[in-house]
Amino acid sequence: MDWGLWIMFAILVVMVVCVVAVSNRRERTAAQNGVFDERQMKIRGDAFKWSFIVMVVYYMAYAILISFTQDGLGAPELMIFLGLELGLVFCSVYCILRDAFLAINRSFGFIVTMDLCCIAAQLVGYFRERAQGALLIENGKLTATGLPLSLAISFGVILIALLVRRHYQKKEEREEA
Amino acid sequence: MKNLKLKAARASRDLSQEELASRVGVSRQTISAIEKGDYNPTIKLCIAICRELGKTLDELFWEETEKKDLSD
Repeated sequence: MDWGLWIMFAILVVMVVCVVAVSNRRERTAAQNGVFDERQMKIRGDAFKWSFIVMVVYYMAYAILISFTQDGLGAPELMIFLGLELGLVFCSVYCILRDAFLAINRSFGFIVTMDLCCIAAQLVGYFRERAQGALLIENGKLTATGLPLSLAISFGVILIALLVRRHYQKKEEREEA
Repeated sequence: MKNLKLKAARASRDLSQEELASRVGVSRQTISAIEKGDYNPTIKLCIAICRELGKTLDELFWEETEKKDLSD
C-alpha cells in the first residue's frame, strides 16, 4: 500500500484520539465549569424568547414603514443586520442584568477583554472605510459603512451592561462579607 | 419572602455564599437570589443545599405560616 495513504490514516487516528481525549476532559470539568445553573438556564430561556419577539417586532415595523413610504431609512443590508444586532444586544443585556450571562466559574475579565477587542476591531474597520472616502449618510440614508459602527455600538452597550452589573456584584459581595 | 433560615444555616456552618454555591454547583448569585426570596429553587437544588448544610427540607424551606394553615 502507498505510504501516503498510511500517513493520512495515521493523521486521522491521531485526530480522532485528540478529539475523544479533549471531549472526555471537557465532560469531567463541565460539572464545575462552563455550565449554567438552573436559575440561569431559566433566565436565558426567557431572554431568547423576548429577544426573538423584539427582532420580529423590529422587522415587522420596518416592513410596514417600507411598504407605506416606499423607502427605507438606510441600506437594506444595514437595516437587516440592525435587527439581528438588536436581538443580540437585548438577549445579552437581559442575561447580564440577571446574572445569567456568565457560566459558573467563568472569568469576567476574559469576556470584557473579548468585548473590548471586538469594539476596537469594528472601530478600526469603520475609520478605515471612512478614511477611504466612504460616507456614513448618503442622500439622507444610512449606508452600509455604518455596519461596523453599529456593531461597535452594540458591543459597547453590552460592555456597559457588564461593567454596571459587575459594580453591583462587587457591592453585594462586600455587603455579604 | 426572604429565606432567613437558609442564611442562618449557612452562617452557622461558616460558609460564604460563594463557598456554598461552589459545593452545590450553582453560581453565587443563585444562592443570593434564594436567600433574598427572588428565586424558587427546584427540589433537586433544595436537596443539594440541605445535604450540604446538614438540614432537612422542612428546616430550610418550609414556611411556618403554611404549617399553621394546614393544621387549622
